[in-house]
Amino acid sequence: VDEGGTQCGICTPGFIVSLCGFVLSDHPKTVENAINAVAGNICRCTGYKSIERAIGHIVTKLQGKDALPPLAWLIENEFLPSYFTGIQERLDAIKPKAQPEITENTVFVGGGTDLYVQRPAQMLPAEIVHLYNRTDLKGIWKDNGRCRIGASTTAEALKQSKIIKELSPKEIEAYFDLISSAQIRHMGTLAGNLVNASPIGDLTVFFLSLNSNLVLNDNGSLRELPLNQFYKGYKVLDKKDTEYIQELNFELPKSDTFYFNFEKVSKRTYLDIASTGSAMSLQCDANGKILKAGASAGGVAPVPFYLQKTVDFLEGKTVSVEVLSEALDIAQTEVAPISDVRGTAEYKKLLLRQLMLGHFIKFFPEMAKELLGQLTAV
Amino acid sequence: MKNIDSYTHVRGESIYVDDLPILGGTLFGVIFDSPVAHAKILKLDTSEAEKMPGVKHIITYKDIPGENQIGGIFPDEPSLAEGEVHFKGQPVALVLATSKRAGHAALSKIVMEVEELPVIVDPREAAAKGEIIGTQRTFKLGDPDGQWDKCAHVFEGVAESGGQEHLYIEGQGAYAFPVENGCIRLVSSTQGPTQVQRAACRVLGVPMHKIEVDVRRLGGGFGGKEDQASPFAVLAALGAMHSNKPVKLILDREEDMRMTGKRHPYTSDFKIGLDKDLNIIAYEVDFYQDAGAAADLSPAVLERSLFHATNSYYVPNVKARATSCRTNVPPNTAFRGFGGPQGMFVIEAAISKAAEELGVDRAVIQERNLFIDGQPFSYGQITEGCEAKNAWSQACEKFDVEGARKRIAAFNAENTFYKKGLALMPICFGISFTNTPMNHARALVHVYQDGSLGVSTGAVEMGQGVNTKMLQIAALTFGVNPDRIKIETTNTTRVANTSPTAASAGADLNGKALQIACNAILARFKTFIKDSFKASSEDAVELREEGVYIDGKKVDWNWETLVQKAFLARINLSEKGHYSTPKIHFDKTTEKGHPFAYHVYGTAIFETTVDCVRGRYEMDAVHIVHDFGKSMNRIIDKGQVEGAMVQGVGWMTMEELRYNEQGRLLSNALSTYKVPDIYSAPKEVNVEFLETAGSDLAILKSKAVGEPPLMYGIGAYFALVDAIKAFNPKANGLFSSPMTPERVLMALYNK
Repeated sequence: VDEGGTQCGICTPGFIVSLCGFVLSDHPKTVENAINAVAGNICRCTGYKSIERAIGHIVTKLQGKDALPPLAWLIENEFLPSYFTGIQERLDAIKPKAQPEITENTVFVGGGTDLYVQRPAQMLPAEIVHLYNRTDLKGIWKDNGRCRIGASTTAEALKQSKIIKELSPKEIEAYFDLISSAQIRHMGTLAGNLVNASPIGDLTVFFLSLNSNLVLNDNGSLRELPLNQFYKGYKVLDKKDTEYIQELNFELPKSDTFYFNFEKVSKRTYLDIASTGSAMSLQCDANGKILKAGASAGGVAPVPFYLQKTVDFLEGKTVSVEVLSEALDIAQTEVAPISDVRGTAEYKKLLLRQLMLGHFIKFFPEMAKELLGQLTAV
Repeated sequence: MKNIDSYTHVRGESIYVDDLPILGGTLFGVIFDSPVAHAKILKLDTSEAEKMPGVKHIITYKDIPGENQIGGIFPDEPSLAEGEVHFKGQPVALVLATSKRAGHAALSKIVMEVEELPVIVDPREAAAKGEIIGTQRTFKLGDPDGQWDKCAHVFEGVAESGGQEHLYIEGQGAYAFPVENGCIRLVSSTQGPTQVQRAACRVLGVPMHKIEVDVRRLGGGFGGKEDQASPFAVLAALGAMHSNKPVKLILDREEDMRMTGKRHPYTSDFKIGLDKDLNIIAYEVDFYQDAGAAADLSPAVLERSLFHATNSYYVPNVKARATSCRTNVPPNTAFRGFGGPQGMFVIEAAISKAAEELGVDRAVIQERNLFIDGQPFSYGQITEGCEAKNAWSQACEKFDVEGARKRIAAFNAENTFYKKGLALMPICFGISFTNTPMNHARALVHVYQDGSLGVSTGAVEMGQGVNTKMLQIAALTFGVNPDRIKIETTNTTRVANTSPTAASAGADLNGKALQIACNAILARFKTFIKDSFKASSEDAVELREEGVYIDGKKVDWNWETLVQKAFLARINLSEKGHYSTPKIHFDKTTEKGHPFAYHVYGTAIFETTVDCVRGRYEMDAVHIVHDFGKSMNRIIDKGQVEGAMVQGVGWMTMEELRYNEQGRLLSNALSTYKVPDIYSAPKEVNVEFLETAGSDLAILKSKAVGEPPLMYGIGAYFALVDAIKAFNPKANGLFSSPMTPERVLMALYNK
């Protein structure tokens, strides 16, 4: 109010509710985190600067907040209305309805962040089995040299996971910040992203490059298959109507000569769908020889694409500028993107090369610089 | 003073059309719109749809009692398609059902058989085929044709700017209530209540006094609800008259995006001539405007492109020609800047072209050619109170542009993967409707006997804070506390024959009218006080801080006692004020005159960083020195500058409107059309208030602020180009906006 953070006012309740989530959360009370909390809200009037200034005031006032229990403090200091007292009990009292039997007509719903947007009309009468609240499908744990992730784990849980963080300790949160918004990351599930089968599914691209496997559950009977065999064609899956994903797993990296990187470029850097995305993992030995590779690309084929030829080429090679350069060329021969509203085919192809260059910059910065010099030489 | 709406906004209590309580018996309107962009309608069969549950009526052009016509400037747009359709998304039939869902379910049962006709989506193709709206317009100053031989340098090129979806967060909508004697009360989300009233009366075949239009506030307008609220409000009114039930019609996001027009895309040819000292001697420009399928406001938008064709630069020889081209997309319409940004983009491109060919910094050419007082615009008006050089030099000094250049050069020398760029963008924007007869307004003031006040004006609140400014004027004039004053809805029965709240002129026109009304009541009060206290004259009387003062001394009447006594003395406590802007005139036959009350100036400096591996970019900082005159509300005015600038950056960078060859909108949802989010807003934004005299024609000398800062956004485009060139010096001729990450990457690696 003091900073003019509201103009026409129609987006304002959304910002208020997002900030409400922020003050209630146990995230550190920094301006950065507060902005992250409203990053999924669009305002067409203010240009956001006045909202940022208002957030600055809120964060300053929150510095006095007691650690626990926060609710009473927040109500007392007028961050929240008094009806928030006892809200947890009231929420607990709302019991979910009993779920129907799984049949061939079942529509499995994770967070519903895509389904309810894409086909709202069909969702109303559908026979829905909700998987989001299934605690047995949540969690990220290590088991026998593999990382296992429950299907209903949210993108936000992945972002916060210490095990996932080990893939690329400094970068992992930044990767997930590129994926939708805080609100959607709290709802959208891993399996939802995989089953959606979008060729540009961010989590799909991410886990494809880790040579992940899926475990599917068909009324109790389980089967496991590699993720890169799950996609048969545009939005066509190797999945029966009664099957749902139970788990995804991948082999944990073995040494500190493990490299992982995720890249995504979209029209708007945050809160957008990729034009092209890519991820790569390399397990090297001490001499720079590539023992195991994985590489994926989104937006360049009808399915989330595994760069098999590039991987085959890289495995067994010792890293050099020439090897990396050839890998870029091979990847270009594997993909055949189409022109659409997210970019022309020509652009997406160039972008894939650039994103792979992005991987190499993260892994081998000096060699990548040389590579870039070759690419721009006339 | 804070925005008076902010309290209810943050509590979620503010009322928009969709928040009105539903009256019993309400029917919900859903539009069946054309699935093709250009066709003859061979057959329209609604019989199966009429049998669907909940469907009460299906209305086609045959059910229109008046004239099937909603065109504002030219009568070329039917309310419901008749015989032909001219764009995909054109309303063909209106389904009235007991719920929105039931209405939507019926749409797929409507059968329309068509014979498809050729589709045009390219304005130059339209012009070549003679598909021109109105007449070509040409502004001329000096003799450009005779100058080219004398110029040391002449450059030619093509510049293109894309369209822009308004993306007001509240979509188009209206709620119509039948009242007795065939009258209708129509609540609409519109910037132009009178425009809605006039269009509805025409279609319904009733006189204007039978339709009352009421507007509380809009959840965003940006020009998109100046003319284009009418089609939907008219359909709601038509539905209400046809069914004799209340009819609510609210578009959902995808309907809104495919049915409504946007900012006009332009493609333009330019030719610029400079002398050896880099003075621009001659400029010729040929604008092709993509008007869409009907005129809407296109001719007026076209005119403003001509008015702003040379932006802030004095060019002694100008020939600017403009053609409005009819294509098969939704009729494009007003959008903040109203053709001005499109006009300015071309001369900025022309200057860039000259700069890259001559190997000089474009800022050198920009600065050398800025307007000074006493120089003529191409339309004959002479600059007065010109702040172009003042704003430029203060921006350069206050924000140390030389230091920034050095910092950027050092960064670019050190970094391979990232490059920075910088650009300056001066603006000069004329204030007034360029159509002189529209520059008038009225206000109605009631002082109630308990001392509270009700104020009605023709201004529509859409977030720009005009109601707060109106309240300030009334409070200042009467010297009372702001909480005594209520700003009423904008309503055609209280304030009639209004111009739309547009052209940045809402606060000036309505504020001046309000001042006139308040001053008339104040004058009566002063006479009454003088007589009651035997004061020497009215001039000795003063009202301030809720008190009455005579010769500077407080007397024992306060505001409330004054009002009560005046009421008992049977003094008129109400007044209507009327204002029309003096001095302005424009002759369209000679294209000369004095169309603007005054101009607004400013300069922005943009700094950007481009990720040269990925083609992504960030706006690091924007520094603005803006001519507010004497700002009457710094919080609101700063918010207007920041918001408009970011909207302009969006238009120049990520907002990409795409139609395919069949006239289908590809960027038809928020998943494919991207407006700036909080992370893409420039990281640092500094807005410096340039101290200027203001203008007597600006309300309280506080200059209009709605549109001008949008054009700062053009600076973002050229800052990106600057960074791209730091990576790839061969990236020349980049004059096609928006500069999406795709365009950036292609330019970075273009050999």
